[in-house]
Amino acid sequence: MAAWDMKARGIGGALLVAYVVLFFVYLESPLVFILLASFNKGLTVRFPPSGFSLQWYSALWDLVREVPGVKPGLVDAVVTSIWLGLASTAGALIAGTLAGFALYRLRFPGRQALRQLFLLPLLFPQIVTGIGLVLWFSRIGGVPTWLRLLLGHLILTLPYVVVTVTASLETLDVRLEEAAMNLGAGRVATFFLITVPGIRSGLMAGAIFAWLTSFSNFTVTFFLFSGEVQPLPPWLYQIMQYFIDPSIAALSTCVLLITLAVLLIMNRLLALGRLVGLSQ
Amino acid sequence: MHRRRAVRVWPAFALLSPGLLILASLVAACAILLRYSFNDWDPVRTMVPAWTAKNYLNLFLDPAQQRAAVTTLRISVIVTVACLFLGYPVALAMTRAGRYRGLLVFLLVTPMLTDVLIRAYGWIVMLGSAGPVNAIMVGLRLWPAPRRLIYTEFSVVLELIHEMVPFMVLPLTAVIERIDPALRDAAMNLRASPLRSFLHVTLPLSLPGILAGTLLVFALSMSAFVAPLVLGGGNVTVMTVLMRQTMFATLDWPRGAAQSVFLVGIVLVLLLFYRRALGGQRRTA
Repeated sequence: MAAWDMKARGIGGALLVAYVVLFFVYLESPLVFILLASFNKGLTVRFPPSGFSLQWYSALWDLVREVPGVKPGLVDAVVTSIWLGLASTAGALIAGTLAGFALYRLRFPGRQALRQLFLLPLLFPQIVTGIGLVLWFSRIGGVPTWLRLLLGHLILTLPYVVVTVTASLETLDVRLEEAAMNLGAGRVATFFLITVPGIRSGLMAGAIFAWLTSFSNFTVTFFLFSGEVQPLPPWLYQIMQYFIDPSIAALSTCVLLITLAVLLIMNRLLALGRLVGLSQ
Repeated sequence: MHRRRAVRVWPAFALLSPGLLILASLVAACAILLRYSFNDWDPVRTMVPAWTAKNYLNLFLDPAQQRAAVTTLRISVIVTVACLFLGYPVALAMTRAGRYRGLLVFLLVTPMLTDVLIRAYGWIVMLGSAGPVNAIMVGLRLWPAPRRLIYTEFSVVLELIHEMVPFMVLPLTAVIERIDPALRDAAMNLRASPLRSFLHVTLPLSLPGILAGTLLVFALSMSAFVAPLVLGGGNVTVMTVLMRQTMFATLDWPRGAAQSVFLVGIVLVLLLFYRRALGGQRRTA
């Protein structure tokens, strides 16, 4: 397919290239304009920018230091989001790796249905997950907020690990595992000495995907957080209700840069295209 | 392919159990919604255990829910059609991008994995009265004065198109790249113009991708929550926004539960057809 060079396709090809360039300008523009707004001088977000300034980053620093008069809790929210992301990633990694191995290496009745079940949360309406969990937790009672959030995020992150692990399992030669077992290694030893090292890039990619999903999830988090345990997205939503000043743009730029860095790392580990269902 | 192995239920079950434990809470959440949706409600005693179909009838009889359903449907149709037309040429280009393909995939996936609130904020910046969209439209003299664009259905649609278009491009690309290039070569050898070979070869063979992308984007648009919440600013009451109001403002849990069950039902049916359309293809994230 790479043999079809777009340059060689005349006027139609040129039009297609022009369109694709425009399309990606459109696709990235909200992200770019957040970046521009964060360096903008003046109180309103203005285009064309009225001058370069770092004033919104110093306003962001005020948020961080909890200067009186600004909304408190940014640092707590970031810390909460980070640990919540790490905890759900760890849980999803263990549960997802074991499940991915079982679903794609073992044969047992009901396997197809279970594969579907494990991928279901990817496309399940998140608002229903959130509302349903709230009702369930209030019914059984006594579940602390951190556990509610963790369970909600485990549901969301689990399928990403299953997807990346199975993508790697498909490229790992089964004969390696069989050879290990023929040489006398038990199933468990084979799993830890052959399978896990063999799929480590998939595990890393799954972990990154899972962490990013947890870190940036709004919908489910929104229904499960409480005053004392509040991750970043609901905090950000509340602050956006009151002021849309460019200090949010500065904060968003920071989050954006973290996301971008994480994605670049992941892209090196495992081709992004494979994860989203494309060949190559 | 995998070599045949003996059927082993217990080891598989042991390996699956941590994941099943996690998924059990999703199943429990759905079960409780299903049960509550048959309960009765009154303003004083709140939820009353019962077995009534009232809440399901209200989905179709209550004017507020009818309006929300119509709004949701209208927005989802517009978004889906727009994504198809915007996304198809991109998918076509992705399959022919050669060494730029990795870059295009990266550019496509980056907004997908960015915090949806931050993207919504980006649109607030873009659509503000002093933002670039107004600046361009006024600068080109298409609009006499800046317009108020935020907190309208228009801004919700714009954000949703932006959010959903990668979900159209990915299944389309997956299907188009499976089309045998020899077929197009053959068409070209038979002196078909590029346009003709596209219309008679590529387009018909990419129909499964069109169907899959359409169903996926439609299902995701129906269940979108953040865009109507943030960019709608209370003016765009789609089904998800109404569900939140019913649940946490009116506190009519049975009615909200029925709305949830209804939404899940629609989305699951759409996704079932989506998987059919993609056939043996691995699904997109």
